[in-house]
Amino acid sequence: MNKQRWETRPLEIWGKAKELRAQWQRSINEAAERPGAMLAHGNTGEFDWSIGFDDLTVIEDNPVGAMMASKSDAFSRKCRLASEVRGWGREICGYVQNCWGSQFLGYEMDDGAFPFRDMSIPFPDPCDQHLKRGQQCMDLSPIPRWGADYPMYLGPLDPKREQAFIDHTVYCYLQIIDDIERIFDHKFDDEKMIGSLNILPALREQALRISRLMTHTPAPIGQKELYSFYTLGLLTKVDPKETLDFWTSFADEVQWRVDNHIAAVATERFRWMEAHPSPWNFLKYFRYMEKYGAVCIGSQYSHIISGPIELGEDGQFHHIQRKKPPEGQEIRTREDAFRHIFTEARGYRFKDDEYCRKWTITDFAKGFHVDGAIMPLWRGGVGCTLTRKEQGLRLSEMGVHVLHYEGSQPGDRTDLDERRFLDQLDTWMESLGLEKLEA
Amino acid sequence: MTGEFRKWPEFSWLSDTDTWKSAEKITAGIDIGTTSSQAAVFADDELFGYASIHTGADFTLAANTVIAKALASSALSVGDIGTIAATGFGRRNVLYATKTQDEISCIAKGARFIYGPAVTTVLDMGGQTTKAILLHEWDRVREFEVSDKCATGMGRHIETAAEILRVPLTEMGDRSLETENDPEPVSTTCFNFAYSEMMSLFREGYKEDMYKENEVIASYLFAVAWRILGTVGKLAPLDIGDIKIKEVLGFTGGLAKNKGITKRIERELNITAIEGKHDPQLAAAIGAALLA
Amino acid sequence: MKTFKEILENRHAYAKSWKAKTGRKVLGFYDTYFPEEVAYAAGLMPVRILAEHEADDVTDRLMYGNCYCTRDMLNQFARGRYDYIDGLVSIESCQWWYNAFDTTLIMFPDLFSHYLFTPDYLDARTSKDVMRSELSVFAERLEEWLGTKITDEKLDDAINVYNKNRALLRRIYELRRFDTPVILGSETMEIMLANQVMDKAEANVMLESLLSDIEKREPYQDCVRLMLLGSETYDVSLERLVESLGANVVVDELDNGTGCIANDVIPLKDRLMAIGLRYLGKPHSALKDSIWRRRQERIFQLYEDWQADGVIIAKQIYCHPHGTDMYAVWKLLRERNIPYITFERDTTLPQEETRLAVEGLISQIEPGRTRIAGWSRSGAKTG
Repeated sequence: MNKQRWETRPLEIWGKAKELRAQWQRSINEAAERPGAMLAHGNTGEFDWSIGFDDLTVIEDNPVGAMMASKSDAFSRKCRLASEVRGWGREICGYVQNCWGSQFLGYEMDDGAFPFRDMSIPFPDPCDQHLKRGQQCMDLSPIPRWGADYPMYLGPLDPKREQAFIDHTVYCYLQIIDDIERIFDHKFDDEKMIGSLNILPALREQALRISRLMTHTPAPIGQKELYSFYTLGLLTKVDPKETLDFWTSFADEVQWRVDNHIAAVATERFRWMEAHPSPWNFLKYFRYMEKYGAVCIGSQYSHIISGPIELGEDGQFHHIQRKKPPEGQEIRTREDAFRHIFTEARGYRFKDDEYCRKWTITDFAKGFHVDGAIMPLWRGGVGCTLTRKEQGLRLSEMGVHVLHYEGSQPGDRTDLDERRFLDQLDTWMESLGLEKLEA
Repeated sequence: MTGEFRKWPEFSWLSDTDTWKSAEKITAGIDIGTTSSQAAVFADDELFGYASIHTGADFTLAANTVIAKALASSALSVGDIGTIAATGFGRRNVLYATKTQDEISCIAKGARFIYGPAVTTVLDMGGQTTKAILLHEWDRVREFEVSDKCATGMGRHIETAAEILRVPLTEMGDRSLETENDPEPVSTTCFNFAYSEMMSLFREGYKEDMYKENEVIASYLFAVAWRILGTVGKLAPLDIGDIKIKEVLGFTGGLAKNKGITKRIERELNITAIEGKHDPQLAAAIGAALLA
Repeated sequence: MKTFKEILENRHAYAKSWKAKTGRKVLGFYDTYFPEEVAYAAGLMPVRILAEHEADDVTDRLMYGNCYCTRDMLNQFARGRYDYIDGLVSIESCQWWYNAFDTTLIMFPDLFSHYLFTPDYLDARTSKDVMRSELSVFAERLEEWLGTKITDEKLDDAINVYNKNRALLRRIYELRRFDTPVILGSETMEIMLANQVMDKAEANVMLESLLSDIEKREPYQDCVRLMLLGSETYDVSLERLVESLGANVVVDELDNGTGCIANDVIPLKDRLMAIGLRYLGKPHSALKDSIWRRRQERIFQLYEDWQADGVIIAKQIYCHPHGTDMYAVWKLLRERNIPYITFERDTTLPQEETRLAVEGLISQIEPGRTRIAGWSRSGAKTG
């Protein structure tokens, strides 16, 4: 058994992350209050086309609901009751129940008025909960809403299908922009949007650097740290330049930690991975696992900002080569830009890991040299649960020790028996011959 | 398990008059629930006698016993009763009944008798199901909700919990209210989850500390109350804001006597339930007798 | 003559005998958005995978959180009930269905399989083009698999058979609009379910004969008329329970009820486009009703047209599309003073709880059945 101890220390980038997060929160509050500003429900996806509108702020209910779950059991419980008595079933995603329950109540966690959305834009995702969300903010007032699809198929790449999907998706987004311009009388800045096309690849490069560095032993940072930062640039969007600067500094700091053998867990001797979000109200299990010298190196979910990655023959993670637009084709219009973005289409999106690229879960385990995996089984929010048991079996078959635990949904503490969960962790660790190194 | 902690007192009452002899019509209502059975006898719409007993495993025996207790020492026999309406989970086991009646109507009618015509929202919390009923100003059920499948057996689960905690069922409510602040409820999805989570709390040594034990009971009963709120809340209008029960609320069913549950419901709904003039557990039997 | 009920109860034997008789293949599918006409034109018999109430010791290893229906579908495959199925198709729809499809293929990798993307955004200008493209890809795959050509003539024939089938089923539903219906809710649902696992040409012959018989029937007594909403059903236990309590389900808004017979394929020169438009234009399922809510108005329309007195909403536990739609449905029913009850079903119908609620609903609806006046019969106020 490895008895080595490494130095550990907090990340210096924390302060900046907090600042960016606060900036995001402020932008929502301001957008809700500033005359003429537009507040949209939804998500613009990895490529933030909303940058073309000066005064459009887009909020998704995932981070809002997750934050409620992590900050106040009592308030999120109240929100969920407000949803339940209005008809929502227990299988509905906790994020949705928290966020829209707050809308039903009419106020937020801090007693401030719930900021009503001016429009509802789609967040295409194979998760059915994502598909139906967005209707909730239309139920109380007749705001504009648009649709878009997450086209998918199985089997080998088919150019004919790809083309039809790209045409359809591009059309949907052009329609949204046209309508926003027309309905809200706001001009869309094509140049600004086209100019930001290179931001995402640059962001992904930096994030991939971090993912690669996390394959080192000891892991320089763990899931706890990733969770603090991974939404910056995706779910919580602020100035793209600032975001990119942040990720660059973050990657530099992680590199420095690797060079100087700074560990996330000083006694690292067991590496584990996860699948999908953790219970936001009970993140202390990461610290609990550290007592055994166990470090969580993340999940495909928390490494999302690296973009779709695959394990190369060199044992390193690489970006999947995305298809490029035809040689010499310049991006001049917004349509060109969307075609460029959606040319990646199938196989390149995060959720495709569970549908068309199922082998990626075992590649992930291999690349990060994990010994074990903790796979939550969520009773609600279909997209958080689908394929989890199959993934567990696949990992078991390759020799990774798998532990499942049950709960309602990451944003809903109802069914998570915290003490039982910790019991499970003890049993699991002890069954693998590991003992607590600290009380 | 000895069964001593789960017990609640059986009761009965018989009018000391002999008005039944001159009554034009004598009716009875028999409510055979999964946990308790009640009988109510009326002579010309005046309450003449009633009884409440543990149901046990044999519903037919419970039906025979409860009517015998309600009639007690009176000279009245089952054969003298013109119409007998049976209701509740075991209504088909009341072999001497002349008709059966649905629980919702019986509870609504019984609640009006117990609480008077002012009551508009009835929350019946029984051994097997919770029913919430919204009444029209005058005479009809406007809307009702029945607890979902996962909340089934709520009352019985509390009995089991009393036994495992070794805290008398009749004391659980008061004990749970002795905590300073209500702790977060254990799982509110179903009673198996709630029970399992409660047991986890005990592993942490809560049993050794009276105050902590009260907290566990509070956490458990809060979960039960929260589950019930999910049922009664569905009667509220679909407007923006908290659940608002603007109507006059009356509790019925066995759990109406558990203050740990009723007080928490009142607190969350910001409402004080009205006091009735009869035992709330009798509501369905009284309603059945009046509808017979 | 075989009855629909017998076919439903012996559906696997029916499919096996069809295969033996015709020498052709059977294609399994899940959702009613699957364009059966294309498969039929290829000479296949499309059979809808239905859930049953069978003990399940298989799926727990592979699934978690799924609705019971999709778990049971996998269970049925694992137990060999569908050993006659030659291919399996899933469409873009509920993820639990996708999961059942996907996991079944892990167990039976040699089955012919296809995933057909039917847009969730049904109303976009380009949705029909995607649908058309997907149908053409699907047709090509079938041609390759079966070594046959799906000609316009074959597609025309399939369209005619399916249009006729839907028209006949609509006639059955029309008979339920009478003040005193000649067919019960349970009988209708048995026909609907059997029809989904049958060769439609044979079903049409049976339906014509059945219609001429039931049109001559003595009507049932007038009673409380109920409408059924919610997750799809795979048996008639609820309808039977309602009937045992003296009421009748006269109409439904289920995907495998009125939802799958409401509209036809309108002939176009481009047959695949015509078929695609039919599926995009059919009444929205709870899942596909994901942009502007369209279900509510349709629910009200059906309620009015079939003179229903109240509504039963029966949702499967873990059926998320209906779990999300309930708010809007309740809002509609409340605003229009329509009495309703909602409950969740699982592997079996919770008989006592359901009975309690349905009986309460019937009492609530039937005037004079119960009087809760708060007044005694002698005229004095009680309480």
